Formats: sequence, C-alpha cells, structure tokens
Amino acid sequence: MNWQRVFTITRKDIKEVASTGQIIAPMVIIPLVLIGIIPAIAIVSLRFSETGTISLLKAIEKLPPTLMQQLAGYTGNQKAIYFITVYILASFFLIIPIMVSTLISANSFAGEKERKTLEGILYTPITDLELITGKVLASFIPAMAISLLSFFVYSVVVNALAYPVFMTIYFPTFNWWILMLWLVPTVSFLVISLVVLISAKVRGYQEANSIAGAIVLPIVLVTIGQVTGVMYLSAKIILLTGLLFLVADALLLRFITKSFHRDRLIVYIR
Amino acid sequence: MKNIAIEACHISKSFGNIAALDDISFSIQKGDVFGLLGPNGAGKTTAVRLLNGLIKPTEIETISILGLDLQKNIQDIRQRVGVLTDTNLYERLSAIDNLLIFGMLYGLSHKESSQRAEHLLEQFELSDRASSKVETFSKGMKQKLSIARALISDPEIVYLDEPTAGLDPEASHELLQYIIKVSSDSSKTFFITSHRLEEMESICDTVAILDRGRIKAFGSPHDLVNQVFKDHWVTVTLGNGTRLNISLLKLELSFVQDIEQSNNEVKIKVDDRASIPKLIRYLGKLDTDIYSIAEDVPNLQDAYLAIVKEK
Ligand SMILES: Nc1ncnc2c1ncn2[C@@H]1O[C@H](COP(=O)(O)OP(=O)(O)O)[C@@H](O)[C@H]1O
Ligand SMILES: [Mg+2]
Repeated sequence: MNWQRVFTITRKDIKEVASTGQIIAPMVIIPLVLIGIIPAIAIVSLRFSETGTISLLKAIEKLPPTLMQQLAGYTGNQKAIYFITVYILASFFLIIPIMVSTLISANSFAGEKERKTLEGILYTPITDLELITGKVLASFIPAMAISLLSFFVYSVVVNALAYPVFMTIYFPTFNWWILMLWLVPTVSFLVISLVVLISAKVRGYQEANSIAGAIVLPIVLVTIGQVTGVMYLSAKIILLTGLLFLVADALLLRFITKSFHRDRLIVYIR
Repeated sequence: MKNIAIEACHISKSFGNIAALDDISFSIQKGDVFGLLGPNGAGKTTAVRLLNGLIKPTEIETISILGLDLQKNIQDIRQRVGVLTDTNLYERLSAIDNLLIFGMLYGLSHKESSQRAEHLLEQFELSDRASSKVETFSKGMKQKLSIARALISDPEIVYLDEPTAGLDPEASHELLQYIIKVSSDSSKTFFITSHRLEEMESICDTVAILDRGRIKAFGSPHDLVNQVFKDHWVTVTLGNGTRLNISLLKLELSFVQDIEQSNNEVKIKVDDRASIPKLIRYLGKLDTDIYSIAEDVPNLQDAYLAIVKEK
C-alpha cells in the first residue's frame, strides 16, 4: 500500500467537495441544528416547564431498572435533563457522521463517472485497494472531524445550559467517550464502505444518492432506536459492539476490493 | 526485440456481438510516432484501453509493452506510460492541481511533481493560468493541459487518443504544433489515434489504418501510399479548346499505358515513375498550348479513403 497515492485521492476528493456549496451547506446546517438548537430547546424547556418534566419522569419509570439505578442520586429535574442529553440525543451523534459521509461518498465514484474523470486515474499505477481506501478516507476524515467538533460544541452547550440545575459539569460521561471514539468511527466506516460500493456500481450521482438513501435510512432508523439502549449498557458491551462493527468493516472492505473491476468503471457513451 | 515498445499479437475484443477489434497484430518501434487511423467506431479507443489493461481482450496471444507481458507486469507498465483518452480534467480544481495529483499518483514527490508541472505548463504556454480553475479554460487549453497531464511522469510511451477531437481548426492546428514539439523527443514512443489524416501524415513515422476492428494497412505513410497506389499518373493542363492527339501519343510512346481526356485536362498513366521525364520532354516539343504538367502524388488521405471505402 502506497499511502502517498491513497492520500492524493483523499485530498483531491475533499478539495473537490469543498469547492461545491451544494454539499457543504447541509454538512454545516444539519449538525448545527442537531447539536446546538435541539438540545438548547430541550434543556431550557425542561428547566422551566414542570409538566414537561413530570410527564418525562413518568416515561422514564417504565424503562429498565439499570437505567433507573444510574439516575438514582438525581433530583427530578436533573433526571429529566440527564435522560434527554445523555441517552436520547446520543443518536444524533451517529446521524451526523452517517449523513456527512453519505453526502460525500455517494459522490465518490459515481460523481467521477458522471463527469468522466475517473478513467484518467485508472491508467496510473494506483492499485484498486489504494483507490478505494483513498475514497473511503475522503468521507471518513470529514465525517469524523465534524462529529468531534459537534461533540465539543454539544458538551459546551449542554453543560452551560444545564449548569444551574446540576451545579457541576456532568457531561460527557464515560460511555460518551467510548461512543465518540470507538462506536462512531466503526459505524461510520461501515456506512461509508457501503455507499462507496454502491457508488462504484451505479452510473451517476443521483442514482447513487437514492440507492444510498434506501440503504442508509433504515440503518439510521435502527441506530436511533438502539443507541439510547446502548448508552446505558456497560462500557464493556459498547466496546464489544464497536469491535463487531470493526470486523464487519474489514470484511466489507475486503469484499469491495475483490469485486472491483476497472473495466466496469469506464463509462461507455454512445 | 529490445527496440520494440509495443507488440500485440492476435488480439480480439467483442462487446456482446459487436467485434470492436478483430484479430489485430502489430508492433511499434521505440522512439517512433505511431498513428492509429480510422473512422469513428473503428476500435481506436478500445485498442488504447486494451493496451493499458483497462479492459480485457476476448482473445489474446500476447500483448507486450516495453518488453514486459502486459497481464503479469501491469503495475510496472503503468508506471512507465502516460495516457490521454476522451476523459475530463477535474474542472473544479486548478490547472496546477490537476497536474500535481497525477504526478503524485505516479509516485513523484510533491517537489518533483511541482517542478515537472511548472515545466509542462511553461512548455504548453499555460503558466499564467496555472492557478485558475480548469472550468474557466477553453476546449483547446483543456486539451493542452490533458496532454501535459499524460506527460507528467516523463513516460516512455505516451498514448494520445484523438487529441484534436472537438477542436475548431485553429485550436486544432495550434495543438498539433505542441504535439509535434513534444513528439520530436526521440526517447519517447508516441501512440496517437485520429480520424484526421491530413494532420497525421507529417507527424507519424508509422501508421496503421483501422477499419471496423481490422488493420487494413500498416507502414510508413509513404509506403502505405505506394501500397495502395501502384500506378503513376501525370496530369497535363491545356489551353482552352486545345486537344492532344491521343492516338498519336499512344503510338509514339510505348511507356504510356492509359489516357483520360476531359475538357482541358489530360491524365496520362505511365508504366514507371522513371518514364515521366521522357513524357515531359516529348510534350515540350509539341506545338500545343500546355499550361502545366504535374505528377499525381496521392497523399495519406487518398490512400486512407481508398482503403476505408473498399469493402
Ligand atoms: N464499453 C462498450 N460497450 C459496448 N460497445 C462498445 C464499448 N466500447 C466500444 N464499443 C463499440 O466498439 C466499437 C469501437 O468503439 P471505439 O473503440 O470507441 O471506436 P473509436 O475510438 O475508433 O471511435 C464501436 O462499435 C463501439 O460502439
Ligand atoms: Mg474513440
């Protein structure tokens, strides 16, 4: 593996993406809404609305006892805010990298095919694995950068707005570190590889985008359903989940490289 | 063997039931400028893609590039070859970035790539636009940059697939001057495809005429013309209303094989090129008004048309 060639592809792809507002705008706006505005509204309304807090607490009581144990030492208002910011909104941090990377990786091969730029690359000594890795990293790096930045902003917003309630910095919890540094990367990598695979098989960007949507959307919905549950499991189980994703990543990357055929990437226009 | 850059033996490629290439064989000397000439759909691009291992032949005996077997040494070969086919540059990136990316994909360091890129931009007179986005370039400038891109790694073989396609005559003429300039570097082998014969005759050492997937003729442009046109004709232009006495001419000159007379022009076929001076001396002594006597010299285009037209 020649990393110079890998990073040349990565850098080129990121440069190209950065030069189009079309992709940049949703990459900035959506994370901003998810990690800035929604948590702010949630925290502020729980702080000032008694009825909201009460109905939320009723809902929490129906949840598994492990969760109740974790919340044991807190007051009602703290419980409600903690529950929303630590468990419920965690799913946003999988939605963000998945969304960002899908936007970029759908464009990956399909966009180059559409603009007839790929064939030139295929004549150079770059290997299939280097090309695929370069393309995957071109989505992975921005996705992780935006995720970590969002994580930082979220931590500041949550702690600042909830400070009058907790009188201490309670976020991020230990499980959040594992989520951000282990689960988010491995899940993102899987989604990106999938979308890159699709992108290499279809003709154009639109097609790649819609097929990617059909595959990615269910994954997003399932994660949203699962993440809240995962977050109050033990750290060990979260680590193990990430490991499973890592194995899946490796298998998928291997499959893509094996099933990659340069001749199918040439666009034939009559 | 050592001097052969490209050798292909019995290569066929079909797409479904279309035979894009039908049992072609040829070899090209190192340092030559080779022209693969043929009409649209003849199989030129397919040949370039096959020779670079981008598509696989349906049937093959061997393809050997720079003495290496293509299938076994594809990585080494790609390192030593530069290719321009009908592909686009990265429009949203600058000219210099387009070259740098390719330099680095060929394994040059960033510094080497920059030096080569700057040198090429200068050679193609694009230096002042080096940092402009390619989308702002004219078609002719893009094509120049594409050729520069194919040259970035200082390759031993350069493929240029229809380099002047889609250019207006002026831009096409300009581009050709650059191609002549770079292809005169005798350490490189050039493989150029085109359907514009008039452009290729002066550039190519060797040409092949490809028609519907088959090589119809191969050789230097001069040999090729001689292969197709074995007869020697001389055209004589006469004054208005003047005629030559054809029967007398035939009688007195044994080397004259055929005569066609029309208006004030007479076409005379002779048995050998060496007979032409004798014919001219004879005509000079006549009492007829003759305005010009000229040997018919067919060019590559005439030969090509004659080959491509015949079934
Ligand atoms: N990928 C492909 N799929 C199907 N047919 C193809 C493909 N590539 C080329 N052809 C066909 O093969 C023939 C030769 O095409 P091509 O090599 O592009 O010709 P040229 O470059 O000389 O114009 C044409 O009939 C073309 O339609
Ligand atoms: Mg072609």
